Amino acid sequence: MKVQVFALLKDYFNEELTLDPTDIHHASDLIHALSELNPNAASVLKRCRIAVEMKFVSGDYKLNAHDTISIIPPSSGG
Amino acid sequence: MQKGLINYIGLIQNQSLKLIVTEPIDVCGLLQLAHHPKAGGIVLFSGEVRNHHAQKKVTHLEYEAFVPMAEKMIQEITQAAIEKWNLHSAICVHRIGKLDICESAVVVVTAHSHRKESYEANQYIIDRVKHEAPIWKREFYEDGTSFWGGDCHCG
Repeated sequence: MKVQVFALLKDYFNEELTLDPTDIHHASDLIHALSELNPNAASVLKRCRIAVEMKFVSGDYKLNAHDTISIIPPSSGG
Repeated sequence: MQKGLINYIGLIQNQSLKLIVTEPIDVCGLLQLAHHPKAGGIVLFSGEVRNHHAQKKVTHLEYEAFVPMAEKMIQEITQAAIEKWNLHSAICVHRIGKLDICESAVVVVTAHSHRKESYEANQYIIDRVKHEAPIWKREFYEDGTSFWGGDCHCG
């Protein structure tokens, strides 16, 4: 499962990650898995949204092992 | 479809107008693009780099975006404003990379027959782009520290 992270999340993870999808079924599982991978990022991850193929999904969204998933920190454009 | 919209959408489609840019935004050029014979009120908002934040001196900003998704969302947001207010044109361009003080980070131009709708639509677009589009700001301070994010005072 390929995951890309942005902005301040790159202080905690590589920009692109490949995760074992065995225990990651839903979008919320992915946040949990990343929080376990780096507990220091847990509070940031709680405020992030998940996008699959450039569309935001909710925590109960069922992930596909071949999806390209993006972890989107809170926006701060403008 | 009206002239201004044809120009704007056509420019996006043929990629001569990028919605996320790395070079300085041509602010006056975007205003020029928004002119429309039916538009009596055009509002241009330029979000610029200020030299202070929370009593700290800011030296510069760096913006990052998930470019294809940000462009898609900016296009969706401007299209929603066009439909909601029946605008003659609506344009939003955001810059990424390193920006110095006083440079434009984002420009929104809205054109309607009357100013009230242009003001409202312009604020709608910038508020949604700031809060929803995958674009991030990092502030760099004179003391050598930096911070991801930033205050938003739009309530």
